[in-house]
Amino acid sequence: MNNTVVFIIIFLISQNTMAQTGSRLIGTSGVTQIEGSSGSGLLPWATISGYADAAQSDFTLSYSSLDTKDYRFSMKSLSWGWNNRLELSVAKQQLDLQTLGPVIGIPDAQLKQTVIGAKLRLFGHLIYSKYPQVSLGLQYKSNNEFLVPSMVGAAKKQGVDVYLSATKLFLSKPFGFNGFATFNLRATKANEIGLLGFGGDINNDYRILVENSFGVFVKKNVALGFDFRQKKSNLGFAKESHWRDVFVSWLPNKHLSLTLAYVDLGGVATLKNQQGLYLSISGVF
Amino acid sequence: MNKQLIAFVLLFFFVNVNSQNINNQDSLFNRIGGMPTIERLTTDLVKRLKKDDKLGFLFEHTDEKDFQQLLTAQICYETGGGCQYIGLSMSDAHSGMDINSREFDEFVAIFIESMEHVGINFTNQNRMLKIFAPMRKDILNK
Ligand code: HEM
Repeated sequence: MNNTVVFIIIFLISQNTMAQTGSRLIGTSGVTQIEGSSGSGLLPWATISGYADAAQSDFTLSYSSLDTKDYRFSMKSLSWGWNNRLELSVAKQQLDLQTLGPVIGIPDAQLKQTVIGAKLRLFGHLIYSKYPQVSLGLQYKSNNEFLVPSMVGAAKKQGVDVYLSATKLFLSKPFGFNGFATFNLRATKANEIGLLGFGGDINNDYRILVENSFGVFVKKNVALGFDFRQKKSNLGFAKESHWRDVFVSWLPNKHLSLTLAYVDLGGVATLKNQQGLYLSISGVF
Repeated sequence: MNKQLIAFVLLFFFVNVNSQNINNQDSLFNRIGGMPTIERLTTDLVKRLKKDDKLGFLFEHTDEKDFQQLLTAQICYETGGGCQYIGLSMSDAHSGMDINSREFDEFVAIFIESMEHVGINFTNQNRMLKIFAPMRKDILNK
């Protein structure tokens, strides 16, 4: 199933390498983050997916996976970017509980979630404005396997995250390279980004969390950076850790991006030291 | 949250101080190879613009030599080569063309291809873009 998405991406790219893309400059698409929005590895940026500028639109199809000691995460997503103004996305996330499954008596236990995202660029331009590009985003999340989340005390199956994101590209800074930075504020009730439901025994209110991402383009089409995503616990059974990663993204052309990251999730649902390699591929059509 | 914000502010500061240091050193004009490189760059750029699918129509009646000389003088002047630019201001030069954001990015992409073609390295390409990017607001929708 997962291979199917990767196959479709590669097939569509092979059919489209010569086709025209939107007119924005390479890299301004960002890549696809874990909830299906345009961003880096872990967090959304203020960017709109794809390369569409005024009176243009395009689709981005992505597949990502992360293997830690005890978990396997995967995500597939489709997003639509319009006018460098609006982004609509849908993502399916899956988390295999290889270690916990047998412990709770459900050997092939999985957590699943659907994320429907919308992001509107409010003002600013990533490259050309002095101030950052600022966007407002929503992620409507719906948990598809609520049994395990309810067992650990999650209050709700569904939730909406709202985030304000500021992203800036710094031409020729530092040292002649192009640096970039993103700063987000997210209002959320999600437990482990929603894979464990929303709200819980310790807290059932919205919290404001900080996320950021810094890096540089070391070439026109290669970016290095790191992400930080703050987390707080709503569930008493296990404390949530902040998430971090270091990533490298390569965009051989405006149709394809590949991201490799080393991700540190800290402790997740009682299991400590969850680190591993993250891989993501996106095609823009 | 505060720690994050401080890190963000420090980064902005670092990035700005660092770029000022660079400006005090050798001029960009010298680093890219002076007048010979700029001549080759503008010659190549004008050729590319003329035959571009999307922008070519704008340059249909352009006199290649005149345009190339104006661009050369402007780039020389802006990079610290000590030339005088006697052409029109950017808003006058592009008035009546109604250039949109798509065309601007196409133009930048072609400019980058030309810089690559004449061997200007990535960091100097970015320094060039840094000089010309702020002119966008004087050029769009005029
Ligand atoms: C920062 C970017 C740009 C710079 C530095 C620049 C520079 C110049 C200069 C120096 C001239 C000649 C002015 C004169 O006649 O005195 C000129 C003319 C012109 N520019 Fe630009 N330009 C820029 C962006 C653009 C863009 C984005 C377009 C279109 C997509 C464009 C299209 C033209 C055209 C059609 C002319 C008139 C050429 C002619 O004489 O027939 N320029 N530009």
